[in-house]
Amino acid sequence: MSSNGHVQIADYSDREILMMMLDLGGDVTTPGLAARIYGWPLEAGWEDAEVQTHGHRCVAQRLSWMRRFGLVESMVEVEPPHTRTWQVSTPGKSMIGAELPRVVEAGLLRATDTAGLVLANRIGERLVKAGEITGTAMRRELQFQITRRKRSR
Amino acid sequence: MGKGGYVSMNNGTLDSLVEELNRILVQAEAEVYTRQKALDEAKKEAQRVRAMLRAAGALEAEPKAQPKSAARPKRISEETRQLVLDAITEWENGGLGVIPGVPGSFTVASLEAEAHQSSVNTAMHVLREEGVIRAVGLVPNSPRKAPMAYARVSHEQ
Repeated sequence: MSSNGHVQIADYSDREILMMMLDLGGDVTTPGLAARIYGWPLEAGWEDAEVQTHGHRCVAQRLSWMRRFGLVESMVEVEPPHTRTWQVSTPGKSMIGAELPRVVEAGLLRATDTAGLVLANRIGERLVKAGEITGTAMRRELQFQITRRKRSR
Repeated sequence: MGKGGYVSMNNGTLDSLVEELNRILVQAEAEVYTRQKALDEAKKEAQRVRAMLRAAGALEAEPKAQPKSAARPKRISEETRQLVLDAITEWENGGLGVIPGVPGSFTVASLEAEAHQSSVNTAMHVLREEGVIRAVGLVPNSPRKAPMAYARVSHEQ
């Protein structure tokens, strides 16, 4: 949330943005996603060039980073006006749809606090061995959780 | 003396005045530079002495700035958590959605949880961070400040 209480693109996690893209049908344009993120009015005729330009820029930059991480892909229409559309990549789709087996979930819940170091080690091992896209997604999720821990201290 | 003569005399007076002012400006700038240098040196010296005193234990370390209230830890009781989850389930069973195309999407105001609104807000924050619910976007066409819409995370997307 920005200092004036307005929502910012940084308030949404990568996971939330990917799910939002699927909500919108999977094939989204920058203005389409920006309208959903910022809650812009649906009716035609609503225009605020300054607000929209800023919003579009923020969304396009975030999506460009996510494309670099391999979570989304983009295509540009050959015909004018050369509209760019964004899609969730196959690794992105499989990551947001993934679930841990129940046995693993139960094991994690049962693990004591003192087993935390072992647990962190195992996750670290997985992070080292993970592929580029999965590794980046894991690193970003861990960073998010570390920030969350810092905030709660 | 004609009009031109007056102007030339006037220009002559102004030129000397401008020259004098420029001289004062150069002097003043030189003085600012010298004094700024002396101030920087004095600040560095004070910092050095302060560090020595701190190392010797004669001066307490400066307290860290306290985080603002926005960064306060957010915790909810198990009871509130369950109340909110039940309210979400009830809303989902109603088959409505505050965001078109996202069935089951809800806002804090749309839930009928038997808890104080601030507790529900905190619960939303915690559940979102835990990955139980996700933000869907701001509700369009809201009369005042648009509320955030949420939905339960589904792994079947």
